[in-house]
Amino acid sequence: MEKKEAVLVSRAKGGDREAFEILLKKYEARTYSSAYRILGNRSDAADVLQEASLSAFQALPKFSGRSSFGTWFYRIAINLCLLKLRKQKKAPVSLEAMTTIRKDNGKEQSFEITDWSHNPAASLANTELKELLEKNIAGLPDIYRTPFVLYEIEDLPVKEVARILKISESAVKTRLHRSRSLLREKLSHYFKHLKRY
Amino acid sequence: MVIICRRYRISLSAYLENELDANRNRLLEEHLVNCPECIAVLETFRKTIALCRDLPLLPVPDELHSRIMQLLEEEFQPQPPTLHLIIRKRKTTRKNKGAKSKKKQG
Repeated sequence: MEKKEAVLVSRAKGGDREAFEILLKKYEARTYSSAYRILGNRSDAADVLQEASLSAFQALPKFSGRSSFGTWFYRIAINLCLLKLRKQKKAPVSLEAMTTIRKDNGKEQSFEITDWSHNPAASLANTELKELLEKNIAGLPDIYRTPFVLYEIEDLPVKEVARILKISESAVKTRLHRSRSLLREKLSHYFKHLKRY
Repeated sequence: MVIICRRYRISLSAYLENELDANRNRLLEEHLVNCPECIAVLETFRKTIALCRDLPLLPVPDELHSRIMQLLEEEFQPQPPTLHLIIRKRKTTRKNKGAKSKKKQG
């Protein structure tokens, strides 16, 4: 933990709310973004950030400082997200329903595979694409979305994701592959549509 | 999609993470040379991952930050230090009194 942060943590442990606010400002956007991407909506993400902040302030005297404050705070928030997901117990969405686009007559539509990776519109500067990506990450089934966010967006190692989610490393890898495939298909659909108009 | 392509596409994540063994890696690369569709899938797969990794953080609404700080203020009122001192002083006084009375009895 860097010296400046250690001083802030020490002050916050003593109940200094100003010091805690500086720490919160540093880590709240990352925590809020992850919570939003794991839970799929801003209202739940706001609840998690609020609850995590209160819990962290209360538990600060027990914080040993072995990890950085940010990592510790982030873990509290992730655990709250997982708890929320368990409570919600959303009906599982079948992978087939997510991946297969069908014509009205029930026959599977065959996609012409094109490489859109060099399309100038394949950039986050393209607001429409950015929003579509956020929407589709939020729309992934829970079991795929959580490992995807922790690994791809939060950059946690597979081992850590497996530990947090209490699943095997190979299960994490399988779920990562499926989420990437689902998102790739959604983007491919967008670019196919873009080509037409 | 040809069945053989499906078999290779399952390995694309592992390929991008350099997790395939040498033999499977070679077989996949040999297939990619002859299959423009699988190349397109690989490149768009790679691009999808890159786009996700570059997604910016979402800003925390100001009112949410203010609400959190307000709640902290309400729920964690700092204890006035004088109160602790008074309680400590009283305990010490009682202990001292007890010790004194024991001495007297002895």
